[in-house]
Amino acid sequence: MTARSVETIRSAIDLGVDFLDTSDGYGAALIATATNVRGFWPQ
Amino acid sequence: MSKLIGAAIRGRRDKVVLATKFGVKVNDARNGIVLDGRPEYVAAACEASLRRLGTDVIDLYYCHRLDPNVPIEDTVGAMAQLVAAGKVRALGLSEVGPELIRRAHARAPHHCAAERVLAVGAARRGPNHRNVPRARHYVGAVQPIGPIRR
Repeated sequence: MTARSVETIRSAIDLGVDFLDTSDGYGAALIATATNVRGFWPQ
Repeated sequence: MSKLIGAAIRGRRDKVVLATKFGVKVNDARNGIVLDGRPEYVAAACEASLRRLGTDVIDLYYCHRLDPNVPIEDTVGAMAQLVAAGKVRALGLSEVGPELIRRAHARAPHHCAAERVLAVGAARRGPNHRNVPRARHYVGAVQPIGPIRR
């Protein structure tokens, strides 16, 4: 885990990415993202 | 990766919909994977994910791959218990066909929110794109996997 990776994800969230999809099966290589999901998600 | 995301969403948890999965494990020899959909593993995997992600609840919890040795009703039943316990908000199934979606929905009709369909998209539509309308009959959303890359 690197500080740069964490900061990259935080920046993405601040820019509007609001869906983070991960899996242990992905290892450290992949994360799926999307925007404008939260508005459709039950709160 | 989960720990990394956990660190990244600290202080931002309410800004994201957080999805993660269970069911694919590295084998003992660490040279391949095994599928595990046993109810006891579902519960243990969820607890481990919550701990790694540093959150109290997972918004969308997927069965990553179905365990052929466990009836889908057993796996989905265990997932539904996580919803009842407040640890998961909605359930997802990955890479399953219409009949399995129907069976899962019958077991947990109010919790199945999403299904991931392999290779649906404009760039290259694989045979699974036919699952989309069938999946949408039962679930609220269909998430394409690699719609451009594959």
